[in-house]
Amino acid sequence: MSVIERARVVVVGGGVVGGAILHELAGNGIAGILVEAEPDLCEGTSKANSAIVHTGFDSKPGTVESRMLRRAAELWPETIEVLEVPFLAVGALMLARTREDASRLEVEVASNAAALGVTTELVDAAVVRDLAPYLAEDVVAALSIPDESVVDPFWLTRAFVEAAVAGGAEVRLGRRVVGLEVRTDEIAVRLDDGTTLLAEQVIDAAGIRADEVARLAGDESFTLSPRVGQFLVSEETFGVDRIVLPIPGPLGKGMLVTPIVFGGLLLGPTALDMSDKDDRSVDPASRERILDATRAMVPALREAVPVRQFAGLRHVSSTGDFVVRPSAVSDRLYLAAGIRSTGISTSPAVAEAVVADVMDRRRWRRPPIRRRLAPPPSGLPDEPGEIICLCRSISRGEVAAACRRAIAPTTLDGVKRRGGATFGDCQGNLCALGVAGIVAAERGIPVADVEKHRRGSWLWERANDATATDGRVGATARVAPRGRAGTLRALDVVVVGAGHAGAAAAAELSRAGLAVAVLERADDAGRDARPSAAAEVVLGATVVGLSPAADDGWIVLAQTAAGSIERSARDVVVATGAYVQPREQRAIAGPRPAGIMTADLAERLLDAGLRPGRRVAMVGGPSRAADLGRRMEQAGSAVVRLAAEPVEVRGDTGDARLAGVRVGDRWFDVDTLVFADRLVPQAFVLRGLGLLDGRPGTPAPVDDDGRLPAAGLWAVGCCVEPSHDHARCAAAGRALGKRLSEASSSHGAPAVTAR
Amino acid sequence: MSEIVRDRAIVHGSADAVWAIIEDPAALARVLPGAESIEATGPGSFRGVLASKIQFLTVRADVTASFHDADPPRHLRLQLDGRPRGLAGSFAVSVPFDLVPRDGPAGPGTETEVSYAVDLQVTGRLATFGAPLMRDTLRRQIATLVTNVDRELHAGTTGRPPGRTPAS
Repeated sequence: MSVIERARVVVVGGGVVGGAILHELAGNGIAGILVEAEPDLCEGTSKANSAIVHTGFDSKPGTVESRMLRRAAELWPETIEVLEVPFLAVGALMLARTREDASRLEVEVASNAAALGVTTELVDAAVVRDLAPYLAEDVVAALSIPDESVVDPFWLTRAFVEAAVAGGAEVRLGRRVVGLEVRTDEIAVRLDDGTTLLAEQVIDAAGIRADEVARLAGDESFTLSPRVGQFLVSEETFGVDRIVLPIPGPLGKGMLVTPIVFGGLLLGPTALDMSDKDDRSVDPASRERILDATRAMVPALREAVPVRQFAGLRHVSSTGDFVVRPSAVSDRLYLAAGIRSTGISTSPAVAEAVVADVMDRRRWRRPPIRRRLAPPPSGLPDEPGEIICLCRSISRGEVAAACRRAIAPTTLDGVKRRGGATFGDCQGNLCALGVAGIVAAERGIPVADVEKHRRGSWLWERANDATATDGRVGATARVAPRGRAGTLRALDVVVVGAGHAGAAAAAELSRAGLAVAVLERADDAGRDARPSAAAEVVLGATVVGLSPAADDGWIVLAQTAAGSIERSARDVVVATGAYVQPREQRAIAGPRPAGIMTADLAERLLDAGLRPGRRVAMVGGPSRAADLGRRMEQAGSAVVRLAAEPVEVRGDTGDARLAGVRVGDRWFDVDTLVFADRLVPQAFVLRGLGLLDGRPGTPAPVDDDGRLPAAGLWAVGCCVEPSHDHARCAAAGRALGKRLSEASSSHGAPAVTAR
Repeated sequence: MSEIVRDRAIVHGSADAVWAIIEDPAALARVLPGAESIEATGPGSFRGVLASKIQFLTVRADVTASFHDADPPRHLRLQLDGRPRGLAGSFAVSVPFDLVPRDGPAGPGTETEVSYAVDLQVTGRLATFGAPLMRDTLRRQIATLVTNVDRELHAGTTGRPPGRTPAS
């Protein structure tokens, strides 16, 4: 059925430039309609880049890009203030590692920057050491660019759009423009849902596909091709506190080390000219190239363990510059295209220039005072509820608040970009179902209908024998309501985790008469591990903090569905187990479609009456994989057991869902890949104490007695040695419990040593 | 705990005048950035609600504050423990600071150099925001605090009702 609507302005493209234009229009009193083909904002070039707000110090004078960069530098302070976006002026150091490089910095780069009015300073090796002691010793000089900054691209794009919506703008997500018809007084925009928008003005900000949108109107004045850049994410910063970059080459700035606003480092990008605008594949060779190049600048990155590898597409315009002008066909179509790798940096200026020119051409009157439109506040409830995302301590309340934003996420990745859930070490394998359950509940749809990112990126299905589920697995907890002093109970020992090691330790401690509490994240405390009945067991309680008590011992803060609880104890035993290493930490080439998961998620899905996929390839050892395979087959999946880890994966059209995996030379046509093999220790709770850094897979650092390097803290089980089976974990738990009990009885107090 | 900020600031008043603000809960409520409420719970101890703006998010937190190692008017350590509302986790801030009189345009000892360090421990959700953002937040709050102290010193201490100060 066709529907015809009228609009003053239609903005095509929900990336940072389209969002900024919508915001600028709204600020000038024009409520536009933004149309985005993908199910969420920021799904194209804007989502996968260095996130740097460039000063333009190395831009080519006389270009549109250079002019926009300089104007944007003037606009950024107000943009940040009004939009309240995460932004850090970290500065940058461009490194010279030879005398010739140092000369180039001075003669070419610094002089170019000076001509553009960008502040830079050449610093010698001694100053470099002082500013950035983590840099390689062969750095002989550097150019300091103090105003280079970093921002969160998702937050920025969303803030632009949500602020515009607050000013009356509309957003149509998941709607592709399939036709543009230029008429005398209007332009007809045909969408793939049958709607036609009759607009006075259309602005083409469709990113890498802006040339295709222009061609719908007959404009063939430019083409865009993709330049693929792969990146790595390291949660550990190794002390890097500013952008570090080499002298640029012909394909761009080269490989950078960039602090991420929310912590961690971004390494890369590579730069490879391609033809496929959908190909965001990654490969192990690029991973090694990035690590080699960045380690040459920051040697400590030798110890880096990336948690994610991804690829983004930059635009290479046939014009060699931004295409910010009216279309060659009609000025009712305005182009904001060819915005290559500086789209974030220039977005406020491009928006200002486009909207000013459009308003002049349409003879629209400017308001006397431009509106300063801000996005609505976060809407966080006072009580966060239980922890959904373990790696990042993100609560149900926080995810639900994200789902109630003006531009609500409809996909799992949409939630990730609004708060970080599923972005941590486990890459969603411990929490994806919980997050999707909240999205489903907020949208009033079955959890099986929540997708990963693009249309067709289904995550899981109802199992053949499933009963209804909302994906809210284990949301109840037998706990006291939130309180502080009222729930602060003094104990001898708190055990964090009721798996085999934790349960055995608690049983031993209870048997010795010690007052013990066991805090367990799951609602079912291990299928075959049972702490002693004498111990207090709180299920559904995720420990989010360990703090030294004022007098002695520790305060353990846990979050439950009913609120937060505290326990005070002389000793704390961390027995938080392990998780299966996700694909992101493995060297596997190919795209990142839905359908790749670990046994941790697959088992949760089956527990919830869902199945991971239809045709499943599984990697794993005999015990866990055999049981999981049987369960998946019972749920209706066809399961192929792989002899080795795949070296490559491929996606279906648009890389929405997995389509195949390759082991050696053989491809297997499957829609799902499940890893059930390699366990890595999980001891996130120790990071807050500085006992673990941000690298995934690092075991809890205990001595031979299970003692952590903070008096009164102990660790045992798979968080120390992930290769241990259930029996060895239980034995280790019993042994630790016995040691603590004996120390307690011999000293009249638990084994608290010098603090 | 880890030291996240070490810096110094100049306030335009004597060390005694600055100390008087510290000892006056009402004055303290006026100068602490984002203080929505503060009540004394004992000598040198308080509880209240603070609103802190972490760039993109204003976090309201239930806090308890206490003074330690007091050596008036030269040295004090502020201990601030809190739980954010809406986010899982906790924070603990220890701020030892030293007041050193210095000469100002108005005469000897009319200005005070405040040297301070901020030791911060965050757990749960706040810990995932990353040190750079937390450092940026603390620096902004301290800058606002210094501005507020200056304003308080120049406004005098009489007749001003306790009011909410902006989150920084």
